[in-house]
Amino acid sequence: MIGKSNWENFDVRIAKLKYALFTSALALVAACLFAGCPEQAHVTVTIKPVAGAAAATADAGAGTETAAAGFGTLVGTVTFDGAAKERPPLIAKGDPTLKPEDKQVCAAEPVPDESLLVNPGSKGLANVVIFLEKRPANIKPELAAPPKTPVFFDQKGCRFLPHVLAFQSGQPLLVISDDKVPHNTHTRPKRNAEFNQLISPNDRAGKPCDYKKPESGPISVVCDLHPWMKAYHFPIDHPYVAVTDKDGKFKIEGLPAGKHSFNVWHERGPGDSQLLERKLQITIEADKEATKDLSYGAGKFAVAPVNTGRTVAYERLLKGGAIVVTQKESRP
Amino acid sequence: MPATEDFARNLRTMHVVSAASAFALLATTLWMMQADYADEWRGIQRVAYEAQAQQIDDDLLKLDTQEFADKEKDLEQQVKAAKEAVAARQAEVDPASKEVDHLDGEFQRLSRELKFQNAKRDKVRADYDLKVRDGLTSKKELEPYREIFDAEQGKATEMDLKLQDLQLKFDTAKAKLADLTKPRDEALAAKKKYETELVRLEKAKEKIAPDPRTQTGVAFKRWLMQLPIIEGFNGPLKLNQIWLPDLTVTLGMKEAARYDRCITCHLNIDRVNTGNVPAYTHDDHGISMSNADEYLHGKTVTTADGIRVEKTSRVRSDGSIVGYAHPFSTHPNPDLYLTAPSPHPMQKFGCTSCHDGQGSGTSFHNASHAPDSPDIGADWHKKYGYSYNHFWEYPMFPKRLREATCLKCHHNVVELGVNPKFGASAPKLFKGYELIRQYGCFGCHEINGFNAGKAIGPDMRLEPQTPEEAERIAADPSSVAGTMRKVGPGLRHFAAKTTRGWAENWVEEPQRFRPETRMPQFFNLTNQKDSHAKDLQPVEIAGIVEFLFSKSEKETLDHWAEGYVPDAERGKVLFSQRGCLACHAHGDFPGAKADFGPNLTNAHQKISSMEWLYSWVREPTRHSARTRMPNLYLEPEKVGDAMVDPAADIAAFLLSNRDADGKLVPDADGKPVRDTVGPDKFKQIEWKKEALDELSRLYLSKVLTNAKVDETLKSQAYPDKEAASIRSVAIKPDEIELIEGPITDKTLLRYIGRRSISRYGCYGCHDIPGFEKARPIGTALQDWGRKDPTKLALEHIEEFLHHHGEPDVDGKPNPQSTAQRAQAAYRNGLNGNFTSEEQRDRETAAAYFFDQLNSHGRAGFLWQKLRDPRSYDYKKIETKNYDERLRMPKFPFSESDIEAIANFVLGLVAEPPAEKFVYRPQGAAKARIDGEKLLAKYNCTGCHMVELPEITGLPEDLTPYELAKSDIPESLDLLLKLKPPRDARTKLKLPSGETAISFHGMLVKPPDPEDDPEDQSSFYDLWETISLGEKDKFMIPPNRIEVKVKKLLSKTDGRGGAFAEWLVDDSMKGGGGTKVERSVAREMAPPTLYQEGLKVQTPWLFAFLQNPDRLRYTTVLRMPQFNMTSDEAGKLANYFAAVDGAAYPYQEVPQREPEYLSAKAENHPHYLSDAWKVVTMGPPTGFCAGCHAVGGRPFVAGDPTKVTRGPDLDRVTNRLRPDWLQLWLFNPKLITPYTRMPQNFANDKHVFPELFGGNARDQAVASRDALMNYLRILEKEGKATAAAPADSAGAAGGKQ
Repeated sequence: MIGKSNWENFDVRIAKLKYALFTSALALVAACLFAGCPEQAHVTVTIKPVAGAAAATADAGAGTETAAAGFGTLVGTVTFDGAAKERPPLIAKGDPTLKPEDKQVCAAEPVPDESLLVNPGSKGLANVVIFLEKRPANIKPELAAPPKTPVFFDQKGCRFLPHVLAFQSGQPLLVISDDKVPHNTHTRPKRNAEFNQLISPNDRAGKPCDYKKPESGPISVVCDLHPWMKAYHFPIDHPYVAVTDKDGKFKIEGLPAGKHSFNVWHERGPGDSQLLERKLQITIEADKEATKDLSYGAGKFAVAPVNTGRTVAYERLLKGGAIVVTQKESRP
Repeated sequence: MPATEDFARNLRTMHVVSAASAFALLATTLWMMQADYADEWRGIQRVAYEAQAQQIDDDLLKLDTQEFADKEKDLEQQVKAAKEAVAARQAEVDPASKEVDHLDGEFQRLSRELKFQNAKRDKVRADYDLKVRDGLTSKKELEPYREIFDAEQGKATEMDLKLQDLQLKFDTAKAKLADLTKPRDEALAAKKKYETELVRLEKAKEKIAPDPRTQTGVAFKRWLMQLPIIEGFNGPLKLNQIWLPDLTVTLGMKEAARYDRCITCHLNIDRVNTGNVPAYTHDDHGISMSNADEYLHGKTVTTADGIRVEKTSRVRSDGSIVGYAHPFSTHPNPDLYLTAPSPHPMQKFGCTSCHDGQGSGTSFHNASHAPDSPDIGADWHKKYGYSYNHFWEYPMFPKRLREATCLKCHHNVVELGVNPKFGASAPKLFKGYELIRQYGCFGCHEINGFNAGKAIGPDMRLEPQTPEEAERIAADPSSVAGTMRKVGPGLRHFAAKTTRGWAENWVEEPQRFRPETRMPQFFNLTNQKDSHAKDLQPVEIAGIVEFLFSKSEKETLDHWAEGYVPDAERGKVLFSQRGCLACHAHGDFPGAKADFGPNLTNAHQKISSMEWLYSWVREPTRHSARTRMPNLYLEPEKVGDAMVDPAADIAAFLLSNRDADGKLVPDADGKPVRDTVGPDKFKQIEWKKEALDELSRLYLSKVLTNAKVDETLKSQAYPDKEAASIRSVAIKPDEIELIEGPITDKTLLRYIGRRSISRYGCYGCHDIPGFEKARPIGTALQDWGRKDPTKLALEHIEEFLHHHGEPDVDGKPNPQSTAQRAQAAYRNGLNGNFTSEEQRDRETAAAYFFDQLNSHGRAGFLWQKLRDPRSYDYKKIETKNYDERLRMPKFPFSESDIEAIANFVLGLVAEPPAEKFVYRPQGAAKARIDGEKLLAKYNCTGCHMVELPEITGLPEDLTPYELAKSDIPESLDLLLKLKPPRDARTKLKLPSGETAISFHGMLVKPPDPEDDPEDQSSFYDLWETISLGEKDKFMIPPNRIEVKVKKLLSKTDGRGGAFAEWLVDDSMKGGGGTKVERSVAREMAPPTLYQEGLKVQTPWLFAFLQNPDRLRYTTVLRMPQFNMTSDEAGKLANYFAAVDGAAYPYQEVPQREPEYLSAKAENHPHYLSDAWKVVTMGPPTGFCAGCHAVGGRPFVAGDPTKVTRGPDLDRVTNRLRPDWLQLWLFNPKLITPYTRMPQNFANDKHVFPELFGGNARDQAVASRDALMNYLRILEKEGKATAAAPADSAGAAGGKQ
């Protein structure tokens, strides 16, 4: 009985998925028409497992129990359970408080707040990372080695593109910029040394920012010159990771059949780990597509750390107390 | 009387007597010899030699392996083969050898002849000289003699030439022979070298324990020479001594050379193995006289088949090796003591200069050993017949007090607590010093380190209290001014701060209000429990407060801006961020535990005036000129469009009402309210009029007759004549309070107050008006360690401690007296009944000091004096006047504190040894010591970390660093110059058996408790350069190091910076309003001063310390201005350079020299102009100007949340050292891993193609040169112009 209802459910989901893909494709076309398509394909990076060559050294993945041979796929949607609020932009168009040289570049267009992107229609939550907790023993051979093609991490309008970037550690990463002001791209990894280099204006060749080691979760990337700029990198030591698109959808292909343990991350997830879900058990069957839909209420999302110091502390202080503008001092 | 044949006595009887007396004499002689021969040290030496022989045997055993034998055999073979090879060419060898012999003989003969010839020549030269003397001056007369001389000289020269020729021939012949015999000689040398260790051991063995079978002769000689009488002729067992004529010992007021014979028994005391480790490791339960036989010769066991001897294993069941007990062990810490390269070589310092005791004594008793507790004394009595040696004035210090003697030579003390090379070598003594410094004992008990200009010990004196005193000392070259400040707050403006009620309550029992206060208790002590004191004490307390309030001087107070509403909630955040918690604790911030200043949780109950508190936090020196509270620059500031007055907000926070849980109590508007009760809730103390009169009468009767006293009190007027004489004297007596106007209760109270302040010495810690010239009231301590014990006023203390002496338990009297406690400790010590080592230490200490007290020892007196100072008044107050009662207050010292203080005070002997033994560091070592004192004085380490945490464990990844493409290759060389690699390998092992490494770094991420235990890791940023043994391979900053929890052995907190760490945690939790990431939080906190000396120029630091301007804009607080002298600022500036081995006080900046600049200009015309362009180019093209004000262009800040502002670059030229700056420009993370400053000049990118050919390295060097020549270029080039027009709206709220 249970199995049957699951299958029914699956069919419905596939239908929904098809619809969602269709609408999002439409939306993309529409966006291209209005805003002009991005000139480079790498601006809209979608992370898909990329075919690799040799099989990697297999260390036993503790979180994975593989019973049978073969590979399957996991798809799903992450939704936000609550009212999706329009978030004010981090930088409004023409923001007068920016430094003059920044204003022309950074405030040419509003810089959106991407820390909690909810699709108002589908409630789909973007930029959620779903990943296999540990590298499994039997990675699909063509996926095992990190791709040699570089991933690009761009900066445009004082905004990082993409907001969340997951890739295999060892895959080359190039930081580029389409802005005519310099940025200092500053990563805050846990296992790797920090990268903090100045990216020259309009540097389209890029600076390599290589991660020698995998990280255990997404790590933040900031630009200290423009403290509102924030994005996330996730170098991971296996191909089984996906970032939800703007409709909250994700797909992980080539998973070895068996029971897996997944983590679900979002930048405003609770605690230091920012994980919405830890050790989520999902069984993958060979040559089949498993579905896992996830939904989280507003209570799950905390305020993410910011990149500015003292001034922000003051912001709250000012809200708390009555401020009198008179400047007269009694001091002789 | 005619001679007869008779004998006066019977001859036969006489023979018997004679024979008997001869036998008696012989017996006595033998007995005497036997007694001498049986000296205990001979037995000890025998065992010591056996133990040495046993170690040699062990070492020989290590060589007795198949491998060794094989190799030896192999070498033997080689020698044999080589010999055969040489023998094969015997036909050549023989003549060569003969030739060598022949030439050698010739050479010897000829050189002998030459010597004779030279003598002959000298003789004829003398003849010639004699003739000259005798008046033969003409050439003709002298000619014959001259000819004789020339002939002889000619012969000598000829022979000399011949000899040189012969030498050449001989050398050639020898070389030829050597060439022929080379294989044999080399083989023999190789064999000899291989056997060196074996031969050394065998020789050593032969010397102390020859084998009678193989070395019969030597063995027999050794046996013979140990026989009685014969051994007197330089036998192997003998007294050893160190003679120290310059390091004298005081014997009955006479200085005599020191003879230390301790090494007679402590034979192995300086024996070390390679690596400077003790050869005979000390082990309290190791080989001693009582068990030596068993360990050296085996154990006798009775078994079923008879008695046999079994070899005793030297490995215990828990795997530990049996070491050596006294007197066979080696001194611990050979790096510091006894060995020749150590600072205290045994031959120079002897033993008793540090340990005391009778160096000339050669028995356990005579040496004046001292047990650490009575139970050990009893054990010694049983084993060695120990008893206290009354005939020696300076017995050894027991273990618990042994650090005391360090003070003889180490007058600066701090090097014994903080030492880069040896660590804390006398931690207990240093703790005692710190306690005395913190509690201000020197306010009452002067510790004068000088006697007639000569240094005699540590100097802890108050600084001059008046300008006149300071001037007088400055004018006298033989006086040195004291440096210590009074430890209590100044009371000159006391009335502005609190109420009388609070003050009286405080004076009576300070701990009632603030349990952790350092202020001691003067009242309600054991000698004030009687009804008489109960009446008089309130008068004294009320009098003191009346005096302080009536004499309090007026203080101008500030008020915050008209209409400004101070906000307590905001004040709470500002209190936590602006650095208050670096010195003060507060109940609202339980994680911050600073105790440099008072705990401020209850401040609202004490402080009566918010204006006072506002003024105090803004400008502390106005209230108290010598306060150590710095000026924190809490000036009103503009935030956005509003003004914030942090001082007012902080004052509001500290003075707000709190509920029972300590939470701020909100008022109707939801905002915390100012305390409505405050210090008024403390009621003034009640006193009796009769008591006031009685006390006044008591004091007045000391200066007036009883009749006059009566009259004075009755007429309420001080007698005119006496009043007139008071007016005329320079130093006014306390009665000055009574001579003006009628004597009312109030004036009497003030008079009693003044008398009481004099009597209790309140001015020793507080600045009190009218007591500027008063002298310390207590016994001076500089020679207390030699105080005659018969002069200690022990009174009835023994009786007291038999019935009392232990503190109350839960408010009830302790049923156990100190005597019972000591008895119990003695018994438990004998039976080993202690539950823990900690308990043993605590209880046996009590027993030791109690025992000392009973035998009238100084240590015991001191112990009880600090535990309960007034207990010496037990049963004495009945026979004393009230003002004769003891007045030493009770300090909140624990017994371990007291033991530490005892180490210090007993070490104050004012008997400095000869100047060459006194530790007088110069240069960097001195700068370090001076600086350490100031770090403590101003609590620099409250905010700043000065030594980084050391992490010991095994990181997950130890891959050596490789230069990235973006790194300029030169940066690695510069890094290694500034941070030379440290060998990170340790001897420590992980439980897994792997070897740990240690490194200095800062935490980046703690373990996540939600991770699997297997995966839990800490992540650290490496700050130093470490090597792991591989040449040219290093790990360098900012290497991120992961250490798994299970592979972490230990982690220190570093030194200092507790507040910075607290602030980082707080900021990450959102304490400042919004959560920030760790690296941002670090930039908000006071910076780590790691290698600060390599970073900043000393003259800049000197100026900055005195007047710190705002450097960083990322921090939430500014460096405050400390109340320090320029001399202190100079010392502190030098300290940082000295610690890092950098040049001070002046630095060279070669980049400013004409040679350097002209060389640069040769290759690059307009070098400085182009360099200037690199650093000043306007944004957005230029990098520096994006974040820094540079080149005279103001920084346009915009909204502070939307920009990052770095330090202004105009300071760099005077502030930073060129090498440091260069490395920073190459890659800032090599210096500070968490910085936001990016790597601007990357080797793989051309940032300014038009300048310096786009070469990043040259641009970075040019940037440094431009910044180092900043003012010169600015003068020439003028102000840099802004690239983009300044936007007036954009500048809103920006700080210029």
